[in-house]
Amino acid sequence: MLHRTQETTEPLQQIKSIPEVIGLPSIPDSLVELSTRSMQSLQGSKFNPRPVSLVEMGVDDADSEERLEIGGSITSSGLKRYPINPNKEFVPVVACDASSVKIGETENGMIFAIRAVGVWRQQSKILYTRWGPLLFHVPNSEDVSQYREDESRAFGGLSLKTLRVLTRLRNHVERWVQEVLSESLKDGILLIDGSLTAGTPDNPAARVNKILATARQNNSIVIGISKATQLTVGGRNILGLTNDKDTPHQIDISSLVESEYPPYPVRFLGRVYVAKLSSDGFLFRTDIDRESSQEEAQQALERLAGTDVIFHGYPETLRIAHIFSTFTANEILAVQRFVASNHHITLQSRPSLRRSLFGPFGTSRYVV
Amino acid sequence: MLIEDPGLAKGLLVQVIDLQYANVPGILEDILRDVMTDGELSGEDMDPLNISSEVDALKDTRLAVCKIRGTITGEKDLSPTTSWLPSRTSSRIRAYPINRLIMNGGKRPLTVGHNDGDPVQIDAGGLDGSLNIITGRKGTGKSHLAKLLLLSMAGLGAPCIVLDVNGEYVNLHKSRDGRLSTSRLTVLAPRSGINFALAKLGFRTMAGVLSNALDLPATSSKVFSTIWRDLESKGDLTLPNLTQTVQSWSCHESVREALISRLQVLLESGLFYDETNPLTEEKILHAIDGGGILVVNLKNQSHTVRRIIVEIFLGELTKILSSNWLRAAFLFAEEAHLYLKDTYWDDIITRMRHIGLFTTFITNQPDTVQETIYRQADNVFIFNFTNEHDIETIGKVAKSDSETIRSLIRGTPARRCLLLGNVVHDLPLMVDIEALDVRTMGETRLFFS
Repeated sequence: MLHRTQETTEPLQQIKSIPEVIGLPSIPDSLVELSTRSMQSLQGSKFNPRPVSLVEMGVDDADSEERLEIGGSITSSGLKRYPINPNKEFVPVVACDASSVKIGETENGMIFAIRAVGVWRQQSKILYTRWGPLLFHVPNSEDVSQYREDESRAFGGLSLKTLRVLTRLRNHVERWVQEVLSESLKDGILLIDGSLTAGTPDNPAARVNKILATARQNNSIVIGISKATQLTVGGRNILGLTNDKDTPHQIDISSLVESEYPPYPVRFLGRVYVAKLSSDGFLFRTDIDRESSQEEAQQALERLAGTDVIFHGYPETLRIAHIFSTFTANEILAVQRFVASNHHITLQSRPSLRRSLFGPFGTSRYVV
Repeated sequence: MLIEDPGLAKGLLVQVIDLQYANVPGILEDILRDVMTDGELSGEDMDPLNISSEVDALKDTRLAVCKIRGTITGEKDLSPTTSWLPSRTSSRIRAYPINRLIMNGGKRPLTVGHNDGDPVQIDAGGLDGSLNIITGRKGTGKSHLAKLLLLSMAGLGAPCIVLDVNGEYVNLHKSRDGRLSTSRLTVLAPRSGINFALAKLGFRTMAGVLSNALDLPATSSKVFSTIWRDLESKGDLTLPNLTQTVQSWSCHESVREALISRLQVLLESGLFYDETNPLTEEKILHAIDGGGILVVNLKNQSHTVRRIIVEIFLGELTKILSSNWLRAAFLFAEEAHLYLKDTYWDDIITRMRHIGLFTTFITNQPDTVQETIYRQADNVFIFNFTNEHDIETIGKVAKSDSETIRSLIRGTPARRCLLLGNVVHDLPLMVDIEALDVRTMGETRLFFS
């Protein structure tokens, strides 16, 4: 088991605060209406709630990343490591994350819950705002007639066949929160979970560009931090490019990535770094708005490392955003209870095929 | 609660014996997250569906641990059958009123207290012919319940005798403000009503006193028997004469020593100070017949004197009951281990029960009551216990399972009692015991009062 001693770059006492309300806008009516209309189709149907287990929760926080093999090695490519010297000058740090989870199955589709969180580290306090959960009943067959035309376009039609609808819904909610935060934050750092790579139907580049531009107008900078990445250099995952004893540093691998990546349709809207924000921390793929200069990006990383508590190399503000957006098993049960009591549905327990066939051996092949 | 299966038109009666927090998956994560927001982190939830209230409800979800008690068919018919299971899918659970089960009180209702605000009446007939135990930690209300049962039984005309170790029953006929009640109470104590005569007690009782209370060896008992017969034939049977005769009797010196030492104890006990006007069976009968209470005050008496008195009283009661002068009598024995020889426990629950002496043992030391008593007890009234050893001892009661007892008696407040046995039709029931307006005199004397 991996064990590391936590080292913080700032004392935790700094977090103590007087509760305040950030004053961010509430969920847009269009999203609430979309949720309401999708759930209205449930009335009187049968509902098979998902089994809730701590071992396998299946919470989706969009951590999957694009896969890319980059030939050669860092040294052969002439890439340099730049040390990150934490700058204690305070900068407001805002982080956001979103999660979605399957709540259960109906006769003709699935019910999902989506929630997003924004966490705001101010000089002497941390505040958060949670939006949701919002519930969506997504039918298996494509039935766009129940949605307005613009929404249908926005989500590419609600077909569950590839579960991409869910990804789009979650991305939509998450991008909306990022927009709100980029508008509210002045002279700060906006941390988002994931990369700044866009351009797929699930993740339109125009929307990310808008977020980056808004942040720039407000003299803020957007940093995307990925917990997982498939980027490899010389067959080695980029997150393994350094060792534990290294001091905080970053390596700009943008040129490597861009030269190897197909030019269309995916667009890199950020400089791609491999960054280590604390000595005891892990490496993370870090994307920084490409419109900012190399110096500005370096400065942003140093101010982030100096302002935020860095937990195993990961900013505490983003960590809190993840913790507060994730659905616990208890919350899934609560949503199931809400659905059962508010939508007049009949609860149904679908027999487990694995259980029926294999009895007590009908568990997953991989047991944690 | 009743788990009703509409398909089978019957329900399983279950009793909640414990309430726990439900082990809802993910509750630890929720609590950890709540702790994070406890002062260090704050914020707001924009929760248009108000799901957070559902989460809060789940966090407080309780798990009711139940025991199956029987089957209810129709509205009231309870049978002890439990060899079936209701459907998991179509059954529904509802609260079942306790008063439908046991609160009717039967032919001789006896109010013992309240359960959840409703009065609880047991049938006094459930105490008739029964062996009962009242036990609980000190100060939890055992004596209080004993007094309640005693007064209620006497009120129903039952003859009652109390072996009162602490002198706390002597004012039962007086209310707290000094008014006299209608209870017919007779209090006897050494040199205050307790005065015996050898001739009246008879050989059997006296032989019992010497061997059981004073541990006279068997060899000496034989000599005693001979001397007794001799004096009885002469019509000269008094304690001084008996002592004098033993001193001059031709026997081994050790036998003489043994007898003289025991007779000396009897002389010094003050129980035979005037053999011309002794307490007789007739007087005892008069005191208890028709609902009288006879309190034998053993307070401030030595262990030996207590044992002598109890031995004599049990002998006298045996005579009364064996002669059918009385149908039955109810004996309330407080801390019986202080005056009852080991060999007597079995005698009380077998021979004496069959001649009509029905005993209620009251103790705060459950391990002083023999295991056979727990196994044969018909009714058990248990107040709070916290000591594991005590709880384990009580768990041997045959009228219920130990898990039920363990779960229900832990953490119960004073005066709340678990009733087991005939009086509650073998359905364990928690009752807040009724207050009594009598002078209990049972409180511990305090220095800082």
